Amino acid sequence: MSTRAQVVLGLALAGIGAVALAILLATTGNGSVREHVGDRYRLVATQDGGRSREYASAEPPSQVVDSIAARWKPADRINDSAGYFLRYRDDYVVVSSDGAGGSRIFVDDEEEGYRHWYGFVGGSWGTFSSPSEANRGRGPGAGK
Amino acid sequence: MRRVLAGAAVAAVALIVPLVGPAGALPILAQPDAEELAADLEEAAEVQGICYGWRVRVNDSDRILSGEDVGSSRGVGLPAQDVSCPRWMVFEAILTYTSASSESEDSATFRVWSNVPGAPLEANLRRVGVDSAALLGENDDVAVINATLALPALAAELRLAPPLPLDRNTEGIPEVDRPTGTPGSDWLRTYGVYLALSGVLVVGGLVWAGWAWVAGRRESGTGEGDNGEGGDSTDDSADADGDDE
Repeated sequence: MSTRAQVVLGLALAGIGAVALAILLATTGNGSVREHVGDRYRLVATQDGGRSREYASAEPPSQVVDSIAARWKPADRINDSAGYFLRYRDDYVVVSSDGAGGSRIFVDDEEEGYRHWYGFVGGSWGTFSSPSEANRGRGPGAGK
Repeated sequence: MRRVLAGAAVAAVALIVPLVGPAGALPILAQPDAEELAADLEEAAEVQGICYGWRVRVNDSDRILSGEDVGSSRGVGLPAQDVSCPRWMVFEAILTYTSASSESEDSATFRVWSNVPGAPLEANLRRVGVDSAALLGENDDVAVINATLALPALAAELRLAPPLPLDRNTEGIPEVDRPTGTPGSDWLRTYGVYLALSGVLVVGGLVWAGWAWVAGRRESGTGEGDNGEGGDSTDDSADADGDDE
C-alpha cells in the first residue's frame, strides 16, 4: 500500500472515530436515567419537590425494567417478589406491577430511595440496623 | 531428606487445596441467605397459591454432578414439588465448572421448571437480568436469589397469580442507616465501551497516518540521497576511516 493511501486511510479512521465520538456525546452526553424515564413514561405523582416521582406504563414490568436497564446500565439490581430495583449513581428506579398488566415506575434520589425502599434494599445498598421485622430487607447477610 | 521434604510439601498441598474451595463450591447460598430466601418465597406462596423454589446443580468438568443446592417456600433443602403444593414453580440452573487445564469454558444453563401452564420462560428471566455470566460470577448467590425471587413477580405479570404489594416505607429509618458504596458514573458504565472504541479509532488512525507520513518522508529523503550517491559514499568513507583508526 502506498504511503499516501496509508495516510488517507489513517485519517479516515480517525475521522470516523471523531464523528462517532461526537454523535455519542451529542445524543447521550447530557442524559440520565431520571430523564429517560421522565421522557418515556407517564408521570402520575411527584413528592418531595420532585426528588421522588411515580410513573405509569401499559407495558408489563419485565419489559419496562429491561428497557430501562438496556438504555442506562444499572450499577446494581435486586429482584424481589414484589418488583425490580435498579441502582444508579444518583437515583433508584423501582418497577412493579400495577395489577392490570401494566407497570408502576418509581424514581427516587439516593437518599429518598434508600428511605422509601429500606425494607428491600437495606443491608444490600447501605447499612441496616433496624430491629423491626416490618422493615426486613435482604439484610446484611445477602451476598457473600 | 529430600524425600521427606517433598512428602511434607505434598501433604501440605493436599491439606490446603480443599480449604481454598473451587469456583461454584456448594452450597451456593449461605444458610442465613437460604433461610431468608425460603421465608420470602413462603410469603409469596401464601399470597399467590404457588410454591416457589430453587434447584441449582453443579457439575464438574466431566459433567458429573458434584452436588445440588435446593430449597423452596417449604424450607431450605426441601423441593417445591410436593403433594402439599398443587402448583409449583422452580428456578433450575445447571452450572458446569471446568478445570483450569481444560480447553472448554465454564457454562451455565437455566430455565423455569413448573407444572403451571403458561409459566415464565428463560426469556422472561433474561429480561429481568438473569444471565449465565452472573450465575458463574463471584456473586452467584445473589444471581440465584434474584432469579428465584423474580418468579412470583413474573407469575403476577403473566396473570398466573395476583401481584404482591410493593409497600413503600413511609416512616423514618434509623439515623445511622444510609446508602453506602455510591456507584460511579452512569454514563461511563453505559457508554464507556463506545467511548473507548471511538477513542481507539481516533488515536489509532492518527498514529497510523502520522507513522505512514514520517516513513514516507524518510523514504523520499533516502531516495534523494540514492540519486546523489554522495551521502552513501561519505558514510562509507567515514566507516573506512573509523576502521583504519
